[in-house]
Amino acid sequence: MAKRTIVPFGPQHPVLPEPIHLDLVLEDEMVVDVLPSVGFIHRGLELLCQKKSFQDMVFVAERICGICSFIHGVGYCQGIEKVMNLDIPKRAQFLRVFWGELSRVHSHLLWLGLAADAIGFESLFMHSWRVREKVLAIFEETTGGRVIFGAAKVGGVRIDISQDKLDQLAIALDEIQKEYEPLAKVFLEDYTVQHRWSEVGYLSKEDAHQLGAVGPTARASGLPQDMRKLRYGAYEDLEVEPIVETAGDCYARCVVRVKEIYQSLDLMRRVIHKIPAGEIETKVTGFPQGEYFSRVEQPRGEVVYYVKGNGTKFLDRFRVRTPTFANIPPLLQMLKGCTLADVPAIVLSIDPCISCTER
Amino acid sequence: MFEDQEIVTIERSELISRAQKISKEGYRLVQIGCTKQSDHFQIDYTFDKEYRFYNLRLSIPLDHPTLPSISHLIMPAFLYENEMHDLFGIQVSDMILDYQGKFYNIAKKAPFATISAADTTTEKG
Amino acid sequence: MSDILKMFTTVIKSLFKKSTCRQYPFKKPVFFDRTKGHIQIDRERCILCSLCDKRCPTGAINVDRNARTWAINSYKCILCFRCVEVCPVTCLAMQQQYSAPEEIKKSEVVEIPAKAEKAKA
Repeated sequence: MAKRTIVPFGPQHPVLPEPIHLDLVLEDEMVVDVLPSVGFIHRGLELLCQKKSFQDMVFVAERICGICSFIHGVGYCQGIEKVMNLDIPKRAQFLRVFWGELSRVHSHLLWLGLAADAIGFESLFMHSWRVREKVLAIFEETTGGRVIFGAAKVGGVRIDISQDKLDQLAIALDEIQKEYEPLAKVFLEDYTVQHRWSEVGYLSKEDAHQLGAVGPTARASGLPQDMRKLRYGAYEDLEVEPIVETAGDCYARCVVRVKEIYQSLDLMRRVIHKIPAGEIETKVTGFPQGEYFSRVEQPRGEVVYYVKGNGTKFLDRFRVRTPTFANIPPLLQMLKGCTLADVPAIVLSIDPCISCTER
Repeated sequence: MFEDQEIVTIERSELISRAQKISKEGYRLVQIGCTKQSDHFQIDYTFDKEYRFYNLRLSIPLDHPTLPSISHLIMPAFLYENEMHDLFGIQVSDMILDYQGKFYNIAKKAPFATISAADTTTEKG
Repeated sequence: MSDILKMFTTVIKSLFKKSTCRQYPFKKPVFFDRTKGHIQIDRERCILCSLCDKRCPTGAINVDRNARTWAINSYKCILCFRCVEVCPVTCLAMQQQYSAPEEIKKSEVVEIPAKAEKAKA
């Protein structure tokens, strides 16, 4: 048996500007065991529900993550709305889906850029982010914020998009798709990308299920798991089929994300086509009493919100289980048996958002 | 549309056998959460199988809370159990990986169990 | 070789296309209606009802009725539009220009002239 060496990875690592630390136990070049550590920046946001009223908590929920902020807000609002038995207008639900799917496009493009950067494909990184910039411009135009919109509220949304604007946005989406297509082609066909990721970080279907993988990580291993199939909000009227790959390696996870961007763009077009006219919010009276586990699909996977109200304006408990937290055990499984040089690529392939994890 | 959520209240002693049964049935662990109530800790073990939500709930006392670990049955549980230990001060025995309170780098021990709304200055909301 | 050719069109386009980046000092950024810059108060119209103070989620706004002042700490402000929405006389507005950098974090205090209330009464 070769001598065992322990190599620390992170919390500061050039490929991953987020604080996760892994103690890699190596035998020669091979990783045989991994010990993860998170918790460098634990913020205790969950406890803020004792100080902020349930309506103000939306702003806190949005700030859990800087990339999928809007969906965090929606997930929280949905929990409260179920507890308070609020009926949300259809238009508000469609608008939530619109911004949510746009967030997904933004997040996946960001990931594709970072991943291209990690394999040393700098020009692909720049082109991905150039397209992403157009998505951010739509955010700024419609909500005023590029990352944190403050558009979700308990009982609906705060901002309406006029029909003229929606028609303009449909054209903008077509433009984004047109610019994105050659990029997607590179990710799907280019030799460099395939060579770096194929058969790296394999996760079997059984392991993915057993270890509780969520989101693209699970779907790349052949699990058709997508919380949008729960038909929450406007997904009731919008059919979504999970995009599944069966290879289970880093490249499959990349392909899932590349294809999900097309799916999201398509969903947004359907939203623009189907969106009904009407109110965008319902009046909220009273305080939440009761509990609910609200589950929504984020770019990174399933997120669970547990809200428990006690009849006052402050919640009893606000708990978030973010997708990266659930994806750490599968990550450990993927890392076993890989070489040291593949570790950054594999860690990046689950799209880690450690700041989400340390809410 | 909101999903139906099945919440089953169980006893602390039943936990291991119930967890074993449910993981054999092919459920995956979604989360383990803890909620501090006025007289007890409410622990939720959430499972999911093909979008079917199943939740096991048990309560343990506020003084010297202890729990048996289910991490040798369901591996991902060790993260949540360490989290519960660090944030709520719940002693979980026989975890497959015990961080001994070093999972989260926090200044105060068991902050979620000790800090209450009365301790902090309430901001206007 | 064929892989390089696949990217060739993109490369050629990039060569001749206009720059994607905005040449900042010469070309100013475009602001949208909802661009979050800073909150501005119309002091003539303010009736010191302190609704904005009560509803601000971060407690950035401070209204002192006795001293007749309205103060905003722009470092605490998260530009959420809440105060703009609740103001009964619509004297608060979101300005598109970002607030200027400062050396110390302090509140910006605005004195509300007394005549405003008389006119109202």
